[in-house]
Amino acid sequence: MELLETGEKTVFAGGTDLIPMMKRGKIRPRDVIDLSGVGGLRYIRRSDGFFMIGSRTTVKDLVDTQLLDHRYAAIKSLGRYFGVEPTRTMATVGGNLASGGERDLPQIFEVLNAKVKLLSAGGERIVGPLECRPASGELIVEITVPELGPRTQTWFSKFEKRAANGIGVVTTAVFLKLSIDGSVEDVRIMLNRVMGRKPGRLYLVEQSLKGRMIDADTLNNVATILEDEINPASDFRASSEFRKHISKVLVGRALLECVKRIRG
Amino acid sequence: MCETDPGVINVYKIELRINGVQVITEVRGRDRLIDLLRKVGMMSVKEGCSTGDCGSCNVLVDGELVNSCLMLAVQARGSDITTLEGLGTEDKPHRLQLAFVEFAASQCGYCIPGIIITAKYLLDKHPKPSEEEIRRMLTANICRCGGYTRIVEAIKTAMAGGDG
Repeated sequence: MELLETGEKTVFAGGTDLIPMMKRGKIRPRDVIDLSGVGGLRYIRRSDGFFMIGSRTTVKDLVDTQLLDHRYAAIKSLGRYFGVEPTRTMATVGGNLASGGERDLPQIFEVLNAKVKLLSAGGERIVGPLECRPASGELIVEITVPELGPRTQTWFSKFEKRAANGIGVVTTAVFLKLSIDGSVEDVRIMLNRVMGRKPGRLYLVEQSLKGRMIDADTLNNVATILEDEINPASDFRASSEFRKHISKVLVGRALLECVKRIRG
Repeated sequence: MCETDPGVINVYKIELRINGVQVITEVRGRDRLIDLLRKVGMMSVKEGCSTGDCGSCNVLVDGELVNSCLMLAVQARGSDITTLEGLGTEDKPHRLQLAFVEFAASQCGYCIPGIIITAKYLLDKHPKPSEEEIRRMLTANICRCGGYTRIVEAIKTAMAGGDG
C-alpha cells in the first residue's frame, strides 16, 4: 500500500478500460502500478453464507465458476453481454467497479446487495457498489455477496446497437424473491440511466411490486410508474424516449424471466 | 513491479515462452505484449485499433484469448504465448490455415491472424461448435473486407477434421 500513498498513482489491473481511456486522451497517468504481481487478490470463496470475490478476479472467472448456480443468472449472463471473449479474460471485477458509471458490474452487485472493501495505508472502508470509486491511495480489494436464498432469482440484460460488444444503451439488473404464495416478497431493480446518465434503483417500481403477484396488470402498472420515475439522458446512441421505452421492455421481461425460473 | 522513479522509464528483464521457444528479453514497463511479440519477429500480430476492439492483435496467453495491445509485456512473464507463427508454417500448415486458403477466406489479410487465433481458441474449448457459436466467438474480431461468410465456412470445415 505504500506505493499507492505517494503522489497520484494509476492502477493497472486488466487494462481493458485503462488503455482505451489513455488512447482517447481521457486519462494521462504519470505513474502506473501493475497489479499482476500482487498475489492473493484473485479468488472466489464461499463461507458462512457469503461469497468473497477478490478484486483481481476476472469477469471470465465469474462466468465460469461452478460456485454460482442458476439463481445468479445476472452474473452468468456477462458471458454474453460483457464485451467479447478477450475482454472477459482480462477485465477484472475491481476495475469495472472502480470505473463505475453505467458499467455492468456495479448494477449487478447492487441488486445482489454486495459490499465493496477498499484498502489503504490508513485502514479499510466498506461501501456499496455504486459508490466505490477509490480515493487517492485506495485499492478495491474484495467484494462480498450474500448468498441467495430459496425462491430467488437474478437477471441482467443489455440492449445494445450491435450483435455484441456494444455500449449498453439500456441495461437492467433485477433481483426477485417470491413468497410461498407466489407474491413478491422482495425486489431490487437497477437501470443504467435513471436520471440523466446516472444509474439507479427504481424504488417506486419496487414499492409497487411488493406483496403483489406478477401478472399482466402488475407489469402494465410497472410501465406506468417507470414512465414517471426515470428521465434518461439522450445522446447520439438513443433518445430519452427510446431509452424509456426499452427500459420498460427490459424490466418487464427481466421480472417475467425471474418468475419463470423461481416457479421452475 | 512498478515505476519507482516517476518520469523515468524502467527496463525489466523477463522470461517467457513464445510458440514453445524460451525467450529472455528486456522490455520497458510501458511496452505492451504486442510490442514485445513484434520486436522478436512475430509479425503476424497486428495492431488495428489499439483499444482491444478489433481483435487483430489476438494471441493466446496460457491458452487464454487475449488482446495483446492491452496486456503489458511484463504481465506476460512466465507465460506461454501462441501466435499464428506457432500454429503452422508453409511446410506444415495447421488445418485452420489450409481451410482459410481453400475457402479464400482472406482478402486484405489484416484481420486474419487474429481470427485464426480466435478460431484455435474456440476449437480447443469446443471441438464441434455450431455456426451460432462460431459467429458469437468471432464478435471478438472485426473484418471489413469480406467477413464473415467464407471465414465461418473455413472454420466449420477445419473443425470437422481431426485433432489439434
